[in-house]
Amino acid sequence: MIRLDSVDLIFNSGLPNEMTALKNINLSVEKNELTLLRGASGSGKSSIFSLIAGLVKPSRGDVIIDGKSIAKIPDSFAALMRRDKLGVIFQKFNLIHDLSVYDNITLPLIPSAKTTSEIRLSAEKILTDLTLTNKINTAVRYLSGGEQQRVAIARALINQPKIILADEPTANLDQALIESFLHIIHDLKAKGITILLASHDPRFSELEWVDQVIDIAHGEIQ
Amino acid sequence: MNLKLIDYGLSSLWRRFWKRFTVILIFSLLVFLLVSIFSIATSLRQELGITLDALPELIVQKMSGGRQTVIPAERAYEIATIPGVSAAIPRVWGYYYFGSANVNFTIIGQDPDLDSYKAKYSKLFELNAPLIDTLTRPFFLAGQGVVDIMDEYYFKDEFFFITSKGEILNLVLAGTFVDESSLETNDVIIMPEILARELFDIYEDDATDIVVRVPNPAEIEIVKQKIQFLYPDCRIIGKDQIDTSYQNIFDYKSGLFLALLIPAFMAFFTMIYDKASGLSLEEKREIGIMKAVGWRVEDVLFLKLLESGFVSLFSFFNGVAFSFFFVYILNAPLLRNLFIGAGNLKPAFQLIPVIDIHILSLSFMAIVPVYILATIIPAWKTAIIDADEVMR
Repeated sequence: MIRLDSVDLIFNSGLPNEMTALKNINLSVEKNELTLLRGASGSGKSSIFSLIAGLVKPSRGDVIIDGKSIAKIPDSFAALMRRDKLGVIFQKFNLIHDLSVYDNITLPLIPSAKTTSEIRLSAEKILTDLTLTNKINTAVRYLSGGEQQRVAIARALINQPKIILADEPTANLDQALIESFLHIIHDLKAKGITILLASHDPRFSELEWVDQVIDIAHGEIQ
Repeated sequence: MNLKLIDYGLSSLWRRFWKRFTVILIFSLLVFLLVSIFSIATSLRQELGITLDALPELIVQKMSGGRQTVIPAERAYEIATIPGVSAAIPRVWGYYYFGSANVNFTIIGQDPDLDSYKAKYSKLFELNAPLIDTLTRPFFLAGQGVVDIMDEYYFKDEFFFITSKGEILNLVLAGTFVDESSLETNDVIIMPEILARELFDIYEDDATDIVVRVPNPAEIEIVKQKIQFLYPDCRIIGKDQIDTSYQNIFDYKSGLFLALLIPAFMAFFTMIYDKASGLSLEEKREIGIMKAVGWRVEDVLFLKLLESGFVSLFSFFNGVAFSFFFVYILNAPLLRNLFIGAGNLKPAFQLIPVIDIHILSLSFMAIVPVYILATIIPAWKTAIIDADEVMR
């Protein structure tokens, strides 16, 4: 489902401030697997997510998503790939605070060919699953941390993605919310979604249903 | 056309209403001032053009010691014999100072017969109906400005002029010029020529000046030279000279107004510079999020085009609408007075509605494409460079 072959990622290549973010990364995630990326802050986890999401291009090597290389595709195709196949849950949720819950979660589908009624149906279903129906018109800035996280998850699921990327999703949450998040992730896995999760929270390593754990440090897989 | 994107764009504008409101306010004000000033000038030029068309081709004035003096009326006969001249008419006119109001009236001596006035100026004045049938005393016609001043000083249907010999000349107001002609007639009084002569102490053989009609424009210059040769002590003023002097006054005043626009332009360009030099962190973050969730660069640019297009077009049409309302409905209070300050009395005329496509194009080009570009370019820079930042 996801494959990185001998990938290097170098920023400001050839300049005095050149920085190697990733070095010779080889990684493979199969369909319906939950893979945990472990590493300290700045180790390169987010760079791997950016590569998989097609937001940056590798300096060397190849990135293959669902059988297709995205290493050299134009930005507009990478955007379509994100819209069709990926759902991303960011560390700080990255919601637009003055938009309502509904507007935030439907944001990925606005440029799509789906009709407004189709989008509304999808949104209502997800909001019901994540018990956010009563907050549908509330601006995100008025929500609690847990509610914001569920909105971020809802937004990642609105396009019925095959792959979910979750970057440090529990970093700012208390114990109860972490438990709730783990339930949601478990359900998603049960539904056949491939999940790549970056975290240095030891609780994830202890989960039985994690299929693969990859340790990363200084831009290299250990 | 993606209606969802348009809907999102509009709601995005609404979300940042107060931020956009300031931009709309400044842009609208700029367009309003620009269009108003040029509309007033264009409208006045139009009005003056009509007036100039009615002016004689040449006006002959006698000069003495570098100043205008009365001219012997008999010269008109000699001038009329010059080939190409269809008529040469001596005129009696002058300025009458009304001390109480500190204003000058322009007094023109014309035929004493009311019927001839009526025929000549039928569309220009309204007769004082209750008085007209019982008119036994000498009368005069006046512009609206004169009538207003008279009213202010309790002169209702008659006025007491004081001649240059100190005698009182009591005349009845027989009619008022209509408002549409006020630019030319506001401070004008027309009275029988004999009374005007009495008022200004101009002898029967003299006139203030002589107007010369030359139907063929190609002959005007040669006629002018012949008159000058015939009467070296005369100054001959052509219609083109009057036209040029009016144009100069209006161009000069328009220039002054444009200088007054500098602060508004400064505010506009500061805003544009601020906009073009980069997006706010909040806007950058929003674009980053959009890209991360699957928006293409062109989707982001289309959204920004919608937003900036709406803001600039709305400001433009808003400014133009307010300007037309101000100039043609409210008759441009304040600004109009500054433009027509040369008259003795401020005319109360209605500005002629003129839609000058050049002015509208200039205002449009100064606002709309500039703002759209200043919005789209930084958005494009952010969309192609910074999208990955949102992952961190």
